[in-house]
Amino acid sequence: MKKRFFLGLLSASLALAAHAAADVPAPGQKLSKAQIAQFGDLPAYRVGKSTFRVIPVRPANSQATLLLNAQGVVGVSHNDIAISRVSAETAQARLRQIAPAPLSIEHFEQAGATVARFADFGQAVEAMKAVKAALPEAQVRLPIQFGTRVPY
Amino acid sequence: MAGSSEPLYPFQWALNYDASFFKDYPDTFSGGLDLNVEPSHRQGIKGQEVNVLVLDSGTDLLNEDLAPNADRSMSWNYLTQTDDPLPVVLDPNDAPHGTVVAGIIAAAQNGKGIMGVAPRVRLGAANLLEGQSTPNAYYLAYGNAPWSNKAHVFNASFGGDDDVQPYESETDADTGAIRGLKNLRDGKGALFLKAAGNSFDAKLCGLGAAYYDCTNPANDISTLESHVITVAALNAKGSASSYSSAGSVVWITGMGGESGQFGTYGELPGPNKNDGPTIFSTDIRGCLVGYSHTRAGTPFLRGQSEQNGKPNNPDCDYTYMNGTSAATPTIAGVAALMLSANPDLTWRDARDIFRLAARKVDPEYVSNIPHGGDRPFGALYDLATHERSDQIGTAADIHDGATQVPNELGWQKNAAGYDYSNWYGFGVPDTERAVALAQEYARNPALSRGGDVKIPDFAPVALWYNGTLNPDFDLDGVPTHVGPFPYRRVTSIGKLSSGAQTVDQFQVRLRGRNVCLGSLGIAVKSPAGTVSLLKLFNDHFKADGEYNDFDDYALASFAFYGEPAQGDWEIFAVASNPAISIQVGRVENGKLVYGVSKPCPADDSAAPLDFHLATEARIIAQ
Repeated sequence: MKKRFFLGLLSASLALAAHAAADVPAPGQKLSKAQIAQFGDLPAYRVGKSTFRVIPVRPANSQATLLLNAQGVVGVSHNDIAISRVSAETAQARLRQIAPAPLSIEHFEQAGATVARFADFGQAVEAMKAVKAALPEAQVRLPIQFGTRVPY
Repeated sequence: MAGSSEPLYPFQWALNYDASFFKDYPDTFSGGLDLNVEPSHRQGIKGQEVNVLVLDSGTDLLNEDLAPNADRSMSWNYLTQTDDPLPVVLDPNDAPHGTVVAGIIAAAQNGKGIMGVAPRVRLGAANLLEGQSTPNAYYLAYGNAPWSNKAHVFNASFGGDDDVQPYESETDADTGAIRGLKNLRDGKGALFLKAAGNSFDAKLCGLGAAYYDCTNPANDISTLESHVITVAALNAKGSASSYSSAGSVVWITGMGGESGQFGTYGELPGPNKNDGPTIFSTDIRGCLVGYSHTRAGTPFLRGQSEQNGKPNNPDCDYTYMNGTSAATPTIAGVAALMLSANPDLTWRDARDIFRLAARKVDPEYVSNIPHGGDRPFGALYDLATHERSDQIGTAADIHDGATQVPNELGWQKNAAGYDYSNWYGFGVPDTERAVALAQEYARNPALSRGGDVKIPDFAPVALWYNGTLNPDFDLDGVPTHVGPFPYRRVTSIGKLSSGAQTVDQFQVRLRGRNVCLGSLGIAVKSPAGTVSLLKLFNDHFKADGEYNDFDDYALASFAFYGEPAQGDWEIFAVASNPAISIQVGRVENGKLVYGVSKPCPADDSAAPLDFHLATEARIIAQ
């Protein structure tokens, strides 16, 4: 922290304001109802207990998907699902049966997680459902990051 | 002085308080303490054979004080895809941050500049904050890449504490990656030091004196994990740094100082008489970039200061910084010394040693009056009017039906005999004691605890609602309560029963619709009678006024650490008056503007609002 009287929250808000100027909302930014309405009808997906709406713009230089939660806060998904509590072989074998096929599959040994990336958010949601049904012992998540981490 | 070889060592009060340059300035430097590292340094324990990874904005590993310890095989640049972690975007606020953090831990004892707390570690660094939006950024950082999987100690002087992040939900983006840290070091687990945050005085829960933390460190869900050691900050007067975020997930306190804006080296208190020294460290080289530059606020930061007639920062390669960002690497350095003394320590051992070696500081802080205020920090609040009284509250004031409660309980001894504070965790570590304990664990391996803590699923505790029950909230067999939301009072909202086990931490998870999150505080009372405040009412969620719907919002407390869990745990809603707005500062179009919080959904006895609040809880057991 460097001589910031209003510290993390406000510096984050400044950063978000800068992003907003470029018309691409940033993760953590809260959009007003009027701002959301400008996007028109948005496709919505149910993930677990929550419903997310997909915003029809992408972050610069990224294939990630921007989403809105119930509060109108912007989140980002890389259209991937993370599978854990089953072996990498089991997860990968199941993922190979999914259509459309994932764009990539990576296993992270220390975390015990296999991450599969899909072409879009809708495909990731459907893949999550399919893997959960086929591997009930697995933990399957569809990570959505709300907010950006900042230096303290 | 053990660090007398280093020209700027007299400014490093966290390493040697009594011989500090600042001792001649009692207005800003008295009554404090250091980390007591010198006895360990004199033993020759300086972090040898310990790998430390600084995850931050990026680091200038070519700084003359970092280069001797830098290890490119433990470093990564997310943007350039190289092993040089120098930040790409030279933003004046953030770019130097990681270089400063790295120096506090790992600056070499080489006759130049400063020295780190652990001046002989191997240092790696990555610009994670610049690259956090890249796919799998956190998996890679947390030990799943060749450059990160050799790390023994991770320093994370960053966070995000201003929003509701669902915890252990289907969209949780953090927990899976961060739990993998426990598998590093051949299963002994990496030590992960995390900054608590700097939001005690963020103007987002009131414009007057700062009486309590505005944003809860627990809002960054990584702090909910038992192996994440969350660090608060102390100033040079031996009390909490004015900005240091407080909450029941804080484990330990390091040295962060104040803002250092006045004098040559930050030694003066300034016109408001509340400033003081910070933490000296390395900077991005040169006077064009970095926190030290030609237009900076003090002569030292401008490269214009002299010591014994000689310039002591002529190339602006050194600087100073405050924040829990600065406090965290002081503790990461101590962790490295502990591992240097005993490389077999598990993450649980290291965390226990921090607690065992901690010193209780600022013992009567709840009686103190904040700068600019007129009531003590521990004052009782009226939940209906929000007025503070002169009377200091206690844990006994938090009971069903109470209408006046404190927002800070101060130091409390729990039933296991451990002193704990939301401001300081278990206190400030004495490094000599910590290293001695590490050596004792080496002599007697039976003291060591391997394996993991026990993490059960959350258990439903209660459902409170009014109006039509949303089918999503139909928790089968869970006690329900129908009626208006119990604002303006303390309400026992449910109990969790536990069998015989020993507590590591207690967690609560909330799901609400049409509930004013900014008016809702949460307290928990253990079967042994210890009370902990997990969330404060009138926090920054109140400023927004629209945090009324939330899913899987989780809180935690280490205040019960070591207690027997058996019995009933009582969870309280400590709810203020949602109809009363609070004055706040917020940024609009890049400028700070003042105003009042937006309206929250408020109850009205004539027409109570529909709402739902589902509460779950669990005990993480040792």
